[in-house]
Amino acid sequence: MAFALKLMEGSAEPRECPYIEEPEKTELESLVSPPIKKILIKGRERSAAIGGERVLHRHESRFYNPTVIAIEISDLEERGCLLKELGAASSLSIERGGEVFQIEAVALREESGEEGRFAEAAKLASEEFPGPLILCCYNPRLVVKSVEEVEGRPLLYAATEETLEEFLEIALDRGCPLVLEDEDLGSLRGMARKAIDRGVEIALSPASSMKSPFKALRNFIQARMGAISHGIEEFRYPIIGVPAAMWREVRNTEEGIIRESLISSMLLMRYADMLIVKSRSIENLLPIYTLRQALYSDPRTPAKVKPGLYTFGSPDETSPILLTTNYALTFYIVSGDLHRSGINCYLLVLDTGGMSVLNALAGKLIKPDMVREYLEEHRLGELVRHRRLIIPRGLSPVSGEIEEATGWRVIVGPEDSSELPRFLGRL
Amino acid sequence: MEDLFKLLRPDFRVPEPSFPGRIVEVVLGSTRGEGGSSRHSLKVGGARALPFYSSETKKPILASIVYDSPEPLPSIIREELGSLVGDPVKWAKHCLDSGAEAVSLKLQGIKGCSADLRDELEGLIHRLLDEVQLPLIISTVDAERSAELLTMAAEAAEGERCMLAPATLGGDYKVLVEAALKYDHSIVAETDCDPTSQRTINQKLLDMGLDRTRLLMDPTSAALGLGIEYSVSTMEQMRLDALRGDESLQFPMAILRALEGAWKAREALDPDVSPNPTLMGPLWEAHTGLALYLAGADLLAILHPRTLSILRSLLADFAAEGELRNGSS
Repeated sequence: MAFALKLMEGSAEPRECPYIEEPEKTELESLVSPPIKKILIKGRERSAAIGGERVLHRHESRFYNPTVIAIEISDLEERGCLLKELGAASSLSIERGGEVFQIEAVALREESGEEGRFAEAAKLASEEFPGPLILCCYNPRLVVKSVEEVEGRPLLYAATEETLEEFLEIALDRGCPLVLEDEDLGSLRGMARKAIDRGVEIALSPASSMKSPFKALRNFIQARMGAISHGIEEFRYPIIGVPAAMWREVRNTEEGIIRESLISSMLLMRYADMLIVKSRSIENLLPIYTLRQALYSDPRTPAKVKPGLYTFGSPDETSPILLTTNYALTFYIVSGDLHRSGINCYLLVLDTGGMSVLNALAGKLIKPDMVREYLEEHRLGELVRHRRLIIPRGLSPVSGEIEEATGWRVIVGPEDSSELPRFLGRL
Repeated sequence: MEDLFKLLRPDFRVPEPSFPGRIVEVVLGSTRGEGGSSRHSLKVGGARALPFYSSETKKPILASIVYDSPEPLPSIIREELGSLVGDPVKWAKHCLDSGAEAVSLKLQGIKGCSADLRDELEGLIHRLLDEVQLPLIISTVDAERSAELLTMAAEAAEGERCMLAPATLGGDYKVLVEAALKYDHSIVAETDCDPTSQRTINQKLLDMGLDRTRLLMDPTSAALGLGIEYSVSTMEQMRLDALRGDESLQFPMAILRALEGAWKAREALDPDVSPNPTLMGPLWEAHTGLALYLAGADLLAILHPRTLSILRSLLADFAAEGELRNGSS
């Protein structure tokens, strides 16, 4: 039963069921498989899943497989440069809200026109970068050799109408998934039909250049709506976006970063299962990752942060102590306000199971004894000389009970944490 | 068979989504010809689908936030704006030059007793209308004095078809509706990411006699990194419900708080996060605005002038691609 539930909500695969045999497994798969097929690409050490989505909007259930972020590197780079780029892509790591972001894939773009050079760069990338590779090259004759040099299961980007036959052969021969690229959705659909009939696993790129980012956005939406709302089989595949392509139009780096970042963000909002970007700068990547983290969070479970004691600035024995709940939204807003205020203070975060202040109060999740236990556990009596605790305005109905249970003087704070700097300044 | 697609080259289009509902159009600003002082009036709303799901997509209206006092502003913006801060009229003119279509005036600093206050507020609003001539969205920060200030502002801007904000369930919305009816303005009903209370407040305002073409909603204040998923999901849900026929939600969304909320994110300001905060801050705000636009926002109030120019230049591409219609008339 538990397994069946997992199947239905997409966190388990029919293949994992130990009790049924092959024909049933296949049948079960077609029953529960998500509208958007999931494809797996593999690198030397890590793999990545793209696609597997079920809905058009997050509030309808959730999004499942976070958009894979790939960094584009050109095979025109000299070996030393390539090594440096690959090293940087491997080691990039940004922590945010308890999640560590990394570059999940490297897209190696053939610009040299030389089969040998591309293959050599592919070999180097496979050796140096632990994740999956995307081999970006429109010429099927230049690709074959590079596939041989790569460990795992790279993604081939991309076949166009002219090169489809040759690419299908390569994909079949090497067992690699293949991206089909066309700005015209009718042609793309026709290509997809052929590839599906030949048994090749595919992904779709409905926008080759980024000259018209909003046309790209329209195509992404149309393809995904076609798959989910209209059941068009040829569009039931992951969508790949290539914001990196817009660098062909832009020179100034800062302007480029702004455009690449915003285009990525808007394609990420609308169904990109993978994005190939060029700039590794934090200004490009951090907003994209942050948006991805937000959109792929499960709306059915409240977002929580770790309860406990947080410090802002360098608080001492006279610094104020504030209280809030571990609902992520509340916590982020309060901590943002405190951080910016520059005030040295302590913030005690109660475990309310991710409920906001008012909900926690209504659900009787904030017990005065709990506040006392937190104060004791974190030895706040030793950290400060005063005995004053600032609580959110929403908790004022229980301020007396908290005073009684803790023996601390309770001060009711402002309704909105944005007023905290002013409020604390007046204390 | 195999080249059928190639031969026919079908111009493939997924059918346009066709919803029974439509978002109301609210007019913001009143031109000379219409008896006001604005250089243009704007139609906010009118959507029949989420942006880019149908070929009829409007660009959002970009308004610039102007405070009457420098108090709540992050230092990076104060430095950027320099002497403009503290001089709301000069600041608003600067916004006009940077391409703002409307001014979102936030009353924060006006203090003192009622009589003086009335003069000061009236003076400010008249100067803005005369010298800047952009449609005005007037909102208050201090909930306690909101009804009093907004009524005075409404009177001072009589006939200018401004937006007054916020009407909240906890606040004195009745006074606000009376002012809007008497002085010919529209109202922005504000809730925090909650469709149910949004329906309730909308209904209460309409029950008091506010016309359906005089109501807008501001359902969110959550920026990128500060719970934008709640904003996006709530707005999409509300917009889709409205399009599917829920009349209590068929109003344009004027996002007056979320973009400036982006400046509360640590990432927007902290030099430890980005070595280039003069880029990162505006970019963070722009990301917030873009995501909320795609989720259904019809009007965005923007704090940093650079955010305005970033969004403007991105959206200019749109217009060039022929995918967008403009909201100005």
